[in-house]
Amino acid sequence: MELTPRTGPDSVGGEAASAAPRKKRRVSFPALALLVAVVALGGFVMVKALGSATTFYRNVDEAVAQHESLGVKRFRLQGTVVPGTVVQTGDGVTFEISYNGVPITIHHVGDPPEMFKENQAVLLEGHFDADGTNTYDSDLMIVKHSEVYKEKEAERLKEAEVNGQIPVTTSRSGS
Amino acid sequence: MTTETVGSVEASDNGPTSTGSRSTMILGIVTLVALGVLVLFGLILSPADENQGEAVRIMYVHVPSATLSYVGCFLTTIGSAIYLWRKSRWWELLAYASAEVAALFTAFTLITGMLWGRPTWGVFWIWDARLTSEAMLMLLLLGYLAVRGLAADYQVRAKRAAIVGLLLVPNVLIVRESVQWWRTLHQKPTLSLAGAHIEGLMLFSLFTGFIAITLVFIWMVIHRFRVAWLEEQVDLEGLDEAIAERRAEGVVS
Repeated sequence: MELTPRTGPDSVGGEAASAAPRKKRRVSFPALALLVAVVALGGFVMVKALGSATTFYRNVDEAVAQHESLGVKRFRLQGTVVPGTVVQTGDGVTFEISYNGVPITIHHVGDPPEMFKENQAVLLEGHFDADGTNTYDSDLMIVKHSEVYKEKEAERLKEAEVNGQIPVTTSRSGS
Repeated sequence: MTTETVGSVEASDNGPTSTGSRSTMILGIVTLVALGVLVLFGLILSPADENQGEAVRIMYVHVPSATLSYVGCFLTTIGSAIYLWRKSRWWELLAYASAEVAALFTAFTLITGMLWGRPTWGVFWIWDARLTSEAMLMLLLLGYLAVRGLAADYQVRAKRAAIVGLLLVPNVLIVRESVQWWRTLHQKPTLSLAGAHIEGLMLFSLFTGFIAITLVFIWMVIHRFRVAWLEEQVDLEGLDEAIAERRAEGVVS
């Protein structure tokens, strides 16, 4: 609590009296500059630290190009599920994904997420198969969504227009 | 320590005298109506998304509350800077009120994001750049509130908190740009100056979300500010009484 004695309550000298401490505060400007420098530095370090997020995942084409150096090291892989390649296996699912026209075969162990389907971008965690072929063994699959939103019904209407008939099946139940 | 900011007599003249007023009551009613419209469009009238299905509806509150949490952070940083520069109590309390509401909105953003992530991505959480920087923002806001709540003189608490408050805007910029600067699981902005990747009723629902959440934000900041202001007034009046007692002791002789 600030209990420095004041002059009487009727004195209007408050404003004038405050002029002196104001001046004193200006001296702390180097301290403020130091603070700004520290903040800037902190921000820089944070950006550098987050910079490792550049390799948060590798696209298929990049991963295939780096196959030798990656070996069987664990990394995240991103690509789009190639239609007609999805096959259920005993312990999971096998399919192909591609990016920039470069495909790769995926052996995924575990149940795929609900929204896994053809032409959908997926993010996988795993590594290249030890046999050296263009195969990736995954044990974690995440469905990646784009920033594009489309009305489901509108899409069905468009399909109906294209096909010239009522869309009885929306062919989306397979996923 | 100075005597300058103890001038409660002048301060109370242009500050709020209660937590309510006629205009904010009207604002509150308008806010409730807007929330009703948001529920109508967000949950009933708007369609499901082609890829995300019904989970897309979470976006109508997730995106606006994230945006308004950024606004709160901007207000806190501006208020903190002005406090450090001018020692303005009004701006300091605005910074404090904004930070508290921003913390609430950031928490809401994280929770709705996780609830959306589980059905659409398949996971509640992943340490990508967007989610990590958003978590840092949440921690920074909690840090601000913690520092300001430490037992100390008003000036000391306000100054420490204001220094933390300066860090909020840089953090917000990192959150905002994270999806552009780095590879993330989180998608890029749907709305940008370049255009919108959303249309029709979905766009309109998002629009109603922005209006409703903005009104909620304004209502909350105003009321939180009034409460904070009145709390400080109570403290100051207690101080004035203490001073008056001391002075009375001196006059006795």
